[in-house]
Amino acid sequence: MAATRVKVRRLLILVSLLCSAIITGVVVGAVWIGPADVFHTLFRSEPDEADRVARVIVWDLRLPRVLLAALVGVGLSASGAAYQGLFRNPLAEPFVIGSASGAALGATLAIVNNWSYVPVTLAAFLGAVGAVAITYTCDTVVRSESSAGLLLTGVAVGTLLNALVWVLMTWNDRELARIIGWLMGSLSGRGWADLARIAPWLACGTLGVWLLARPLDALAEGEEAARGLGLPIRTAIGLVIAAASLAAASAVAAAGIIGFVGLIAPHIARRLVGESHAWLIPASGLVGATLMVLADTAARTLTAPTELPVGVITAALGGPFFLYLISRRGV
Amino acid sequence: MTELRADGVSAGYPGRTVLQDVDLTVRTGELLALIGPNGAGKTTLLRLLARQLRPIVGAVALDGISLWEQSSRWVARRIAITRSDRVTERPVTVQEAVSLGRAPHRGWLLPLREEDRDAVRNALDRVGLEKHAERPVTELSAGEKQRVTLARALAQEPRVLLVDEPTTHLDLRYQAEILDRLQELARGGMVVVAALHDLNLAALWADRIAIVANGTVSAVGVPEEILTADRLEAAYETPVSVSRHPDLGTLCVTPVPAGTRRGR
Repeated sequence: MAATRVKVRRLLILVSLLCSAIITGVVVGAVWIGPADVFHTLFRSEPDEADRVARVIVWDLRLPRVLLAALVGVGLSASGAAYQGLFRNPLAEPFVIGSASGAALGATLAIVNNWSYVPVTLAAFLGAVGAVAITYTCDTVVRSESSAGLLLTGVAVGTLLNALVWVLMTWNDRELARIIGWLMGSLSGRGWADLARIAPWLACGTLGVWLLARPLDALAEGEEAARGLGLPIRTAIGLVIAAASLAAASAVAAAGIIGFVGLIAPHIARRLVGESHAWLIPASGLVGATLMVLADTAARTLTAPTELPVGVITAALGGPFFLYLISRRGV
Repeated sequence: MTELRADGVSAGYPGRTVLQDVDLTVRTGELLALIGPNGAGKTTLLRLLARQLRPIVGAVALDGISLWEQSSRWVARRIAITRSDRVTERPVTVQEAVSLGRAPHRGWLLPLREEDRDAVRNALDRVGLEKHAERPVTELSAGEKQRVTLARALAQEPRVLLVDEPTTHLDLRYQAEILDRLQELARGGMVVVAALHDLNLAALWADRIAIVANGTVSAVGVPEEILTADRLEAAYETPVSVSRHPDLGTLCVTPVPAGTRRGR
């Protein structure tokens, strides 16, 4: 939207905002560990007991969690930006073609059958990817041939999967708390291992979406225009869905269903750098990462020592903020 | 020398045949206007010529090569189509909007090269938007938006330019401006086909006119030949009056109000 130079500057500002948010997230918590102390935990040659405790808190507890929050924000927002472009719909979000319902079903199955933590992540991931695959296959079978049809198919598949989740919840009311806790989204207790498990998939999905920036630009102009430019529509839609769903599925697997970030971040980014996806996707990612880090920091500090689900924070802040954007004609 | 040719083409949409048995040939250097009543199939014909709609029977060929035997990318490098009702409304800069026209040449994933940027600059120059490259499309006037659409088509460096209703929503000055540019492009060696509602504009700018009516191309020829009261009344099913413009010497077509029809 603005000139190239302005966009570069705005991206740099977003990068520095994200860095500030990450530092805030590491410093703030049930125990305050100032930036200087964080620095000491790393470089002091003869650490005392307090340093060792601080070191565990910062490096084993907070940093991986903050980084994971950032990654989840990147994945959700890049995915949201891609779906908004693909469906030419400002209300599209990462879960629009069923990945949230699929992830919910996968996670619920895992919880109900009492698998340990790892399978919940894996089951959610597979559920999300599977739901999108089902949506896409259904759409190919009913031959809607357009992204609008795909959107509707996604709603249909999502509704069906949600019904299954409700059935499982009704039958297994002893596990309700765990299921609901997962559905609300949380990063509680996540560490380096979770980060390592999720990061490669999330990076692939996000980079894939970014690589598809030009097809997304063309699709956002409408399918007829895209076809006129020689874009192989079905292939392009398929690739966008694959990449965006991979990003969303890995985010959901890591943190549960976190609403609003993937919807709002692209809108903020669009006001800063316009809708050319080569700019919009990295900008959305940075905005989303910053929002997630701040939301997660709030989630674990507002009512310390107990934690709020981060999805509750994003929804509570996201709703009013979205209203503000609408009132400013930002949507 | 480029020749775009539709041979015995029938086409339409599920359950509805719009065009039947269409024969049409357009060659380098000419501006061909498609005229005809609403819903007669002008847009359908343009979509056929652009390989956006598959013929039920017959074939459309560019220099003897059937379009449906080639990829959509092959076609997009040679044939550009613009729809005035599909002007971009997204918050992107003029440059970004026009750069999309390079995709058929550069591919969809690789970044643009210097030659692509040159082509974009040239396209912007040709429509007089070079000073607005960094402006958001959403801030442009209707006429400027129309020119962005045209610039994107030009960035495709096509041999055939198909334009649907390039003058709708434009005032007199922009109408003249855009048609001047289309004529200039035709003179420069491009095949230009424009669907036009305004018969007087067609009379003034087109080298040849094709009437699309009653589900086919019913007549093709120079304006003098095509713009007769008989042909137009048959096509539009309303009385018209054709006269000669006192200053320009071209034909003028006006509808006849019901109250004044008695005298004819």
